[in-house]
Amino acid sequence: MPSVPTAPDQQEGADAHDRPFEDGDGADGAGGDSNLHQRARRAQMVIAGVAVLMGAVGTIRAADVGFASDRSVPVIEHRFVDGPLVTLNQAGALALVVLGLAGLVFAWFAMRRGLWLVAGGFALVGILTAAQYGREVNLLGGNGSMLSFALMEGVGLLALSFVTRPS
Amino acid sequence: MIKRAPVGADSPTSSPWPMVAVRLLLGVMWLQNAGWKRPPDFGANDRSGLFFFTSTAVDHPVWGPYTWVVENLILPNFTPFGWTVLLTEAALGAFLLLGLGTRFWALVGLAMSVTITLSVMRLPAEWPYALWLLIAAHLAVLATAPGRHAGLDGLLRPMWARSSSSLAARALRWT
Repeated sequence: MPSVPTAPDQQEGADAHDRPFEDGDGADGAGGDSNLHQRARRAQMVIAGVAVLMGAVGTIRAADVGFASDRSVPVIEHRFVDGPLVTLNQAGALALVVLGLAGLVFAWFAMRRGLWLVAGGFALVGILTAAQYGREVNLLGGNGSMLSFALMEGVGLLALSFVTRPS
Repeated sequence: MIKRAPVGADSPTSSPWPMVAVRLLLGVMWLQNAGWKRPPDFGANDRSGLFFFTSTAVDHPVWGPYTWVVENLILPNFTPFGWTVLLTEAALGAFLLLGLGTRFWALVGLAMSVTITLSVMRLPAEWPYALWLLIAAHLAVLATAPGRHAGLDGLLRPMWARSSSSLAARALRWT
């Protein structure tokens, strides 16, 4: 009878705390997988939560800017950051809040298809920003940073949806 | 077998957090700097923005072959170049902040840093060590793979390790 292969990274007497850079939990069976899924789910909620936070701050900062105005404001602007970080108008702020909240809900209930939908929403935000930034009509008021942020949100949620168990 | 990531991490007293901070800082830097690459002309019409900083390779040459490339290939075709820079920097910001494909994007960031150095190093009031430190930071991220801690690489690698596909094997190498 062939011997059962030992899981990667498991060594006799090894203590996980001695190896702070060890990858996740490795392929070490159901307990490790469950922990991995939980961590991935938490990461999804963090990523979606960041979108909600950016959208909420943007909503406050864009209070004097029109809904789909070509004027935009930076969500974060500080001399430590050498200029504006992610610009948007009220429509852009609303898009981030709605997509972020949807991401939180779908992540909480581990609904993979829902997360794909949200990732698609962020992709649309990115495409719209890339197409309209620097032009007369800029529906979401976004700049190149907004494009990068939307890419981060969409790719992050999509990639993690393949780790979490679908409900 | 999933290899350990960073060099010198065997000691139980070493911490991954400094390199995670470097990765996040680089991500924020690229994300923010994508913000001033403005289409459709990227500053070509009034010699501002990306066009200005790219043309400094001609006005203040650092390395002859690179100056030739900028003068004869890049500046005459500036719009596609501008889009390439914008999309690359946006992707750099996104992926380094996520900690996904960290080593690959550190390599891309390294290449971008080298081209920036070759463009602006001889500008008046430019501090060359800032550019060398930018290159060094990307080298450090490439060497230590900090996406494996507090990043998506750490969550996805166990899945890739279980897969027998060549794509998964490549993903393990570049994360």
